[in-house]
Amino acid sequence: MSKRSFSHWLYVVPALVILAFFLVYPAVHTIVLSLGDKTGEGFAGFSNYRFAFTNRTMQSALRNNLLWVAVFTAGTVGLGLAMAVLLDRVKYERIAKAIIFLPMAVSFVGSGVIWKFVYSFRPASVAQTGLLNGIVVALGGQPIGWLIERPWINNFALIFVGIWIWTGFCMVVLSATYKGIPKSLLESARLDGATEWQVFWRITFPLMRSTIAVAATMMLITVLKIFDVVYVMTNGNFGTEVIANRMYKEMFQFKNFGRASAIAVVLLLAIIPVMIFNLKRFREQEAIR
Amino acid sequence: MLRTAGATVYDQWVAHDIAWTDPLIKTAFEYFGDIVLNSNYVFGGATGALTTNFGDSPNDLFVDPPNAYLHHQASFIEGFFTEDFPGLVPGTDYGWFVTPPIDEALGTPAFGGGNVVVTFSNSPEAQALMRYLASAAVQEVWAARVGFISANKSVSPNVYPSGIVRAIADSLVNTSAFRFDASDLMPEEIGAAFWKAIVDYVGGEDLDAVLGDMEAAY
Repeated sequence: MSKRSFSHWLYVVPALVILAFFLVYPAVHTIVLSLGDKTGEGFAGFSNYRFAFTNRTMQSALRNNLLWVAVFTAGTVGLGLAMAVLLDRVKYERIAKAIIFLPMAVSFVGSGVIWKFVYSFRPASVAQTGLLNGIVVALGGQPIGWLIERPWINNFALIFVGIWIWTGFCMVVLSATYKGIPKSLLESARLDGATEWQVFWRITFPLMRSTIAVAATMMLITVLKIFDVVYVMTNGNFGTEVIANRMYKEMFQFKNFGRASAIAVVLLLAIIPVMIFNLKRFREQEAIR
Repeated sequence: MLRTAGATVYDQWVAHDIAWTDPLIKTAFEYFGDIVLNSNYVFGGATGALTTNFGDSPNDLFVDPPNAYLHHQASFIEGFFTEDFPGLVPGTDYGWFVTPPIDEALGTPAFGGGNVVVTFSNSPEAQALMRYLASAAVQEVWAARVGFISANKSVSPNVYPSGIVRAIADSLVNTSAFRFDASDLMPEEIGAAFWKAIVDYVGGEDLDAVLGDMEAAY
């Protein structure tokens, strides 16, 4: 081994040590615990995994996470893209972008509390305290339990809060790329008679594809571990359970190390495809360089 | 469960000697559902029941005009609503009664929570202290403060601060049977699953499915 490659390794070793201690070892330990029983001492085989996939509440959580993945990712990336493209043309662009990005500055728990008040329900014969029900009643309707009505209303109400928080982030990321598209390309397309819709779908969208992939990947990773919003607003009740909330309950409320670790490993396995996709993209980008 | 099936079945239920899908448990749930799921009986209907915080719920009795006239809760709730409505006079503005029997033969067993004194050592000194703490003299000191009802039959009823607490204490020491809250006695995951089962049932899920899930939680 030549002296040069040895010193290369020296630079990397501290990072590798930290990675090994804080990432690899806990991951391996979690996998070991997931094969153990409630206190982590006995051996329970795959019974915890069987629980994670057959228990009715866990199945409801898995279904809800799928719903979150579909709606949240489409919502944040789609709305972020729309905002990035549309706001580019208006004078008040900076203010609008600041307002849309503002929810990212609020803690996720704080957002949950804010929207819990907005969704608040009081019976029809008394004054409403929630903003949304206040509007509904003022327009002549009956108040709705936004966080109670299952299975769609309350889940969509929660997902909307998630979208409200994260759209600003997607918008900022996509806007940076959008501004990088040469204006001359779009101008010439318009001169050639393309409608705005065609300009968007045939020029803008393909050029932004890699950034959209990045934004979508980030949102996917965020949504698979969604916890704060659900925990604060409904604590997973009324059919809104998600995997991360179950993991928290199993670990800290029921003190069942085996089941909590099994759920954590399931979450890890769910994220692996996203990670592989990410790595492939990095390799492709490196190959281009 | 105490009113419809009796104390013995209650104990079996807590110990899981009978299944949750047993008709006796289903009957108890249905009695509960007859009231909670009926929007003419519950203020705000099932949605109101699910969204109202338990500490705030008696407040609906004391607004003008009242939104409800009856409230089912343990005796500690007096502290909650007297704090929100300081001018209330016990006996005039509010009263209480023991939940009537459902099955006359089973009567009205008492049901509640309690403070438990636990010793870690079995020394004679620890035992003497335990006996002293359970004695009427000490219990009367505790009972003179609001909210504490003594299980000691020798405690004089006059130490209680109000007529209502006195009456409640009287019903406790003269009851035919007493049981602790079932969900507290069950293991933690089962208690939490029980809570979720009630919420799901009030939320409109099918009772047989809910009870089946409870049975599968063990």
